[in-house]
Amino acid sequence: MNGAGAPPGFGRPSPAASAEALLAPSGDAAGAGWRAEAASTRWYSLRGASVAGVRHRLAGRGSDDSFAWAHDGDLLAVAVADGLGSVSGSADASRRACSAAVSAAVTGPVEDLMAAAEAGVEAANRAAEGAGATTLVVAVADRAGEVALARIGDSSAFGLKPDASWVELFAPPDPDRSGTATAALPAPDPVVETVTAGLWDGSVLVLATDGVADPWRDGPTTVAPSLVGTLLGRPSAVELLAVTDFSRQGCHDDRTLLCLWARPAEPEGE
Amino acid sequence: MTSVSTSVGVEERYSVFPFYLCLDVSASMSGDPIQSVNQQMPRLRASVGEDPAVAEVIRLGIITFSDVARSVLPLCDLSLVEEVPEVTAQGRTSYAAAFDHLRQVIEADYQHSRASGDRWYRPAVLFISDGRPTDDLFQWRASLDRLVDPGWKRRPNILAFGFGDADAEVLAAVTSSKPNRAFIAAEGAEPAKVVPELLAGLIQSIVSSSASVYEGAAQLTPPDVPSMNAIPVDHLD
Repeated sequence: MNGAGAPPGFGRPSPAASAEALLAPSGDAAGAGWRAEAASTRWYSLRGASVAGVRHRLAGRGSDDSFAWAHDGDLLAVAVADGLGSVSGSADASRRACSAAVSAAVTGPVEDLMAAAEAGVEAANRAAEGAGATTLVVAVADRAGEVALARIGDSSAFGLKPDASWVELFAPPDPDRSGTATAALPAPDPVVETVTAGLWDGSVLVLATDGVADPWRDGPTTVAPSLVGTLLGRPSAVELLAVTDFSRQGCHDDRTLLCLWARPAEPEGE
Repeated sequence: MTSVSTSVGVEERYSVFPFYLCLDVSASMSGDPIQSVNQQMPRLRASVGEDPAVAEVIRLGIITFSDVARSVLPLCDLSLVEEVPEVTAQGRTSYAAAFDHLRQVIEADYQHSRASGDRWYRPAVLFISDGRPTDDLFQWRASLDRLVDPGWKRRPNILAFGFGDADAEVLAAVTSSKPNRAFIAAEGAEPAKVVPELLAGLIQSIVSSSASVYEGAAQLTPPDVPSMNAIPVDHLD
């Protein structure tokens, strides 16, 4: 991270990534350029990290990304969102969408995880109205390790196996695309992509904004194995933050990673 | 399609935004216009370097054309360029030579760039001319059609700029009559005034377009050149 040494380089290094950030005229902890969380429920461990992109840092601006979680009874919901930089007010839209999505998802129908995830997207769509635009991916997990995911836009999710193999759970973008336009909330009739996953076998669920997902795909011998190796080791919040701030030429978008691991079952009463 | 670690190739990919500055250096450009070009070009590197993150995605090539076309600065990372070469004016104004060269160079650059791990945003051609094409209509239109062939994946977006004897209808055709893509100098504007403004505007256009890569919607941003006007696009009958 800046000031504490060079960020880890994955592939061609970025000189800009090592430059000292510009301090914004004012700020607070909620809007800090580096944010992280590491904590567990009885059934799951969560790690999340979000770093402002290099261009935002050099301009004294914060990140447009957000992440959020909520758990209630048997359900845990997590979400990441990427506010569209081209639309004013998107940083707040991504925060509102994330919070609304996880709140709605954990109060959804326990017996139908996908319905809960879709309820999260609907709530996020309502919350995003007003100003800004944002992508969203929301995941709802039950205590058995079943997970339902829903998304709008190009934020994505990956499943990591203990043997270090990984799969992108949603369809990746066309590798020959020449633009970066993405679907976003709010939308009058959003087309929601859905998928399911399982964490009962020691897999790790990773939600990521495109600031991570794009270089993950584009760096199959650098970014992907480095991130996978770190995430399988169940990093601390600081370790996750440091690896999320990797240096790579041309990769300066805001970055957010949120990871879930199922915890080994504990005897009742402990 | 789902990406799986075992089926993904081992190709590292770095996004870059290629720009081709395609400059008319026919004899009519001699004097103040060509002198302005040579004065402005060295400023490109400094301007691009003001945003180091943006500089990492910009790739620039400079092509000149008169009777023939040639690459005076092959597509490159500007931070690695020690000196932008000077250009000289001579010969006629072959649009066909320019378009044929662009078609060949863009494809070759793409293949070379792709092999070294770069992923391209759609290339942009910044076409500047002070005259009408001296080759016949059929010839330059056929060359243009090959350059913008919808079946060719690397077909560039084109911005066209004209002054002096340049023809607004021809420039509109060069940009496929897309709105806000073709510009002509205001009536009475002297090339000595237009050229420095245009090049300064183009530098800003390259930087703004490249910066849009990080804004969620990469786009080609036309320059703001006070002494030039956008060529209006008619409705089809």
